Amino acid sequence: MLENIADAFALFLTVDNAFSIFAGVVIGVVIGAIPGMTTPMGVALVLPFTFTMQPVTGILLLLGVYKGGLYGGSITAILIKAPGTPAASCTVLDGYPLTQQGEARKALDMALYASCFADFVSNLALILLAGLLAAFALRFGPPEFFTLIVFSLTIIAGVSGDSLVKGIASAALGLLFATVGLDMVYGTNRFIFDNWNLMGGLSFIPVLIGLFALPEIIRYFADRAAGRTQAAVMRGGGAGWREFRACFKSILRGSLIGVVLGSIPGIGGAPSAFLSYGEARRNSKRPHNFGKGELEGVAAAEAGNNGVAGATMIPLLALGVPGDVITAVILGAFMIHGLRPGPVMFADNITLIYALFIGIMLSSAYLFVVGKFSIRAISRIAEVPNRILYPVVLMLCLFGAFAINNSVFDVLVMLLMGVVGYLMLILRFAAPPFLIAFILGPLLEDNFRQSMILSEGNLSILFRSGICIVFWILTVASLWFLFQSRRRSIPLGG
Amino acid sequence: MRAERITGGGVLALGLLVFFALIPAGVDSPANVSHLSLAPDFWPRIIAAVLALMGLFMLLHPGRGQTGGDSQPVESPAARPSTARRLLRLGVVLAALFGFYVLIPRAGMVAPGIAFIFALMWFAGERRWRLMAAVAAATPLLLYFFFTQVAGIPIPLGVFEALRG
Repeated sequence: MLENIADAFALFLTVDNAFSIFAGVVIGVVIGAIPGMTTPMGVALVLPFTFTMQPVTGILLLLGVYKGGLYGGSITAILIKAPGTPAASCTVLDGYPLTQQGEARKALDMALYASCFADFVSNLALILLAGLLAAFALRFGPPEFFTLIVFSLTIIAGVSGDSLVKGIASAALGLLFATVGLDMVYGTNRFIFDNWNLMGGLSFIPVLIGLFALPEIIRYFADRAAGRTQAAVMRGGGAGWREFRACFKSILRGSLIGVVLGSIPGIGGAPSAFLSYGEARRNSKRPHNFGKGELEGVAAAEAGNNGVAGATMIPLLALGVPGDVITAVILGAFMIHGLRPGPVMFADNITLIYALFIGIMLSSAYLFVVGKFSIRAISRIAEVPNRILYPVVLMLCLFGAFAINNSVFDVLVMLLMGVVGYLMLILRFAAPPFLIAFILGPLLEDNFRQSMILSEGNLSILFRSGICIVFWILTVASLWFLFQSRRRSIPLGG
Repeated sequence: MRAERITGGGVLALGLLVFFALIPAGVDSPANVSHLSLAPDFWPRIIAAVLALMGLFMLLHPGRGQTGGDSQPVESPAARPSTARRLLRLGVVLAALFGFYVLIPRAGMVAPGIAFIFALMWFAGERRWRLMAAVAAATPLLLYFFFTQVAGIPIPLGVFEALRG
């Protein structure tokens, strides 16, 4: 083994490798920070450049983009309430209120620390527990997924703002919007109304931008009174060791949630971020502050989001199964170089695997350096007056919504969601339940229906395994805790 | 309380509209569905029913279930324009946004984008003309350059398509 590790160092220690992962992280952070540019898009854009590279160099470049993109999505989520990725939408909940309170720098710092730590934990899990976690992940079938998502949805009760009834109505609206598109079992139309643009459902990013960024901007233009000044968004200092230590439990918990969920193919960063956020809120001494600018909320969301980064490589490397779109692209890169991930690769190309592990560990350090630098550069955006910033942000949103699918229709979706979001804002319906339900809704329905197909309509399949039962118990306990909190009139954030 | 009742009535009406009108008109359910829970309209109907129930609850018990927490920033009444003025301003902004969308197939995204940013900055109270001109011109052009040249995503130029080198 030591000989293999020595060979791996020899294989990894080249300028090309060190530079490619650094370049990947930089590209990823920039792409993640632009609404309309998604991390899978970034990885796909960079893929052709890897064809002529050595396998390790090329794959490290792609991994760098992946890890940078996960963090980059949080920058615009915190600064301008426009999440660059669906997973970063959880960061909006507390990140943007912190910006409004003048603590943007602190939120960005905490997002970076939580991201780097979670990324590091995830990488360690990949290196040390790949076999174990891959075996656990294989025990997840549709009923287990369904119960996991039901448990994740309990956080809706915690982010419903001042009215639980309105929160549930908002979530129902989100679930309803998520049903638009072709039915996945029968292939029939659902709310398409002969518009082929709706066949694939509503795109995530235009809906997210429309729901979060636009209402705030529309309200600014509608309500703007002469002489009104904006908040001193950067008046606070950055976050340091003291803040990191205060949030450490939530960061560690979020990292572990990310590792477990990331190792399960098909889950992705968004459910992990929301689950981590919900757990942080449940365990916090200040649950009422979540959704109103709680630093621990930013830390938990980012830890959950980035904790999946290394872990999604577990099913890919250990089983040859891509867990999401990005790892599917990375699988393509392996195959282009004549490599087939899976148990055989561990036997035949262990040196290459170790070299990748070394590069992956280095990426956490690069992420910290690049993140620190980008915070200084990008956080100046928050100092621009709203009368200049908001028209520019609107243009960024319009270009971004178009660029996702090269579709003018997506621009319309974003604008209409902006109107829906504005109505929700003035009628005091919390937007986070809508968002959580919209993101988790398709997973919930698909896994429920797959379970029903497997059991021929027998609901007992939803209790078939220990994993299902554990999630049901957690769901009931979580709801009991949340309703008790409400009964004691603790305002549940939002 | 009255506003809450009206909102509840609206949510109830929306839920009923979805359940009784939109689902029958917009969800195709094949005749050979083996189980009720697999039907394409099963999930939407449950959601619509929940929506209607929440609306009914708000209508019958306005204000109940509220914790009194306020997630919206509170502004002093003096800082806000009158309702008529706000509605006018809202109308202008929405007209500008949807006007931009309508213009995309005809004039592309860059030229309307320049006019759009300039107009909105003026609308928001900015009066430094040179700064406005620079920001209005640079933003769509930089975005155009980034998306077309770096990301390889063609951005529509409409009637200005001939200018694309």
